[in-house]
Amino acid sequence: MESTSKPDGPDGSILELPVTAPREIRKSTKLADVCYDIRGPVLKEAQRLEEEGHKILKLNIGNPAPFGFEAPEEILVDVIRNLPTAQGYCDSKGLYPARKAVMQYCQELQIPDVEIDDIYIGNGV
Amino acid sequence: MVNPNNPTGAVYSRDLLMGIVELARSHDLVVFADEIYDKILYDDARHVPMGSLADDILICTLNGLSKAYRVAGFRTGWLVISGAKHRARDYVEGLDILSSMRLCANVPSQHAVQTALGGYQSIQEFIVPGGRLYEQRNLAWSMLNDIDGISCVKPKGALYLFPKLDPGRYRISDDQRFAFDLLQQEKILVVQGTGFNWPRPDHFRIVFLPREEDLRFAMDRLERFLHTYRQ
Repeated sequence: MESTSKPDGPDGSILELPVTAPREIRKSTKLADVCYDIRGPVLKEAQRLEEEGHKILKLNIGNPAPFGFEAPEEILVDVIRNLPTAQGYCDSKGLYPARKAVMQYCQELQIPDVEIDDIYIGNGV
Repeated sequence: MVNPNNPTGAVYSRDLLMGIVELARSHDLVVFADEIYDKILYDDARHVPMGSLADDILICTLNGLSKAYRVAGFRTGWLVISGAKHRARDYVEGLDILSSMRLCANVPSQHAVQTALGGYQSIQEFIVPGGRLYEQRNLAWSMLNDIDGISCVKPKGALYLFPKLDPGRYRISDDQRFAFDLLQQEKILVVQGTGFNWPRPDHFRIVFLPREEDLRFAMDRLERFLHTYRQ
């Protein structure tokens, strides 16, 4: 078998493709106006300093766990107990008991006329 | 509407919220209410849920387990549609399409929702006198106000302080540069006010989650830094 790196043209001649540098892969222009400085250049510098071995005191995001605010144990137990049966996808709007709990919370808050179908569970803030 | 507010810690009065409702009513707007800090309140602050104030405008309320239940990494939150749902059938159809396209949210952590919302609310222990959040807020707020050229409103809710840097004194024209310089010199990471669409370069946000000794250390370093810092 004869091997060739260049494709044959329709008349059997060898096509010469223009030689260009590989294309740079760029982010979507839709991201141009996205303002998310919490994860911006200052954070990048913080990560660089940490890699150099500096200890940075992070007063930048509301992430309770690293500061010793741990979840109530009861919550962890519920997740652990249900883990074996939580392997598949669920209803796209969320598990029924979770949505029911949110619905009851809305009743407590006196938000009128909230039904199960008015509630969408998502991946959090 | 972020209430309790991030980054200022404001908790809005019923009157103010009714004003927003009236605005939405007269301009035919949808209200998005981010109420993730609704249980993190100090002193005598009371949270009024936006959804409880009107049934004739569309209100989308957002909440979740990240803050009051301290499981930010579980990634579990929710959206509630209330009010003028009859005028939002097409919008709701769009939400249904989008939620189907992403199949579903993380399933294991959804099992935490029922337990979290019902029964004993452990966040209470943190927000009363003697509780960590309450005491840390007080300490950080008073130490900030003790620094010359800084003024800060005492937060009534949430986890943040939003101090103002006296523009006459510090002449900060680029607040991202300020955050960058503070990081390099003192190894303290904050977020500049313009990161929250604040129009002038004279505010920054800090969280008061660290323990008191760490907050004290941070405030001392900030004071040292500001003593000589000018732009």
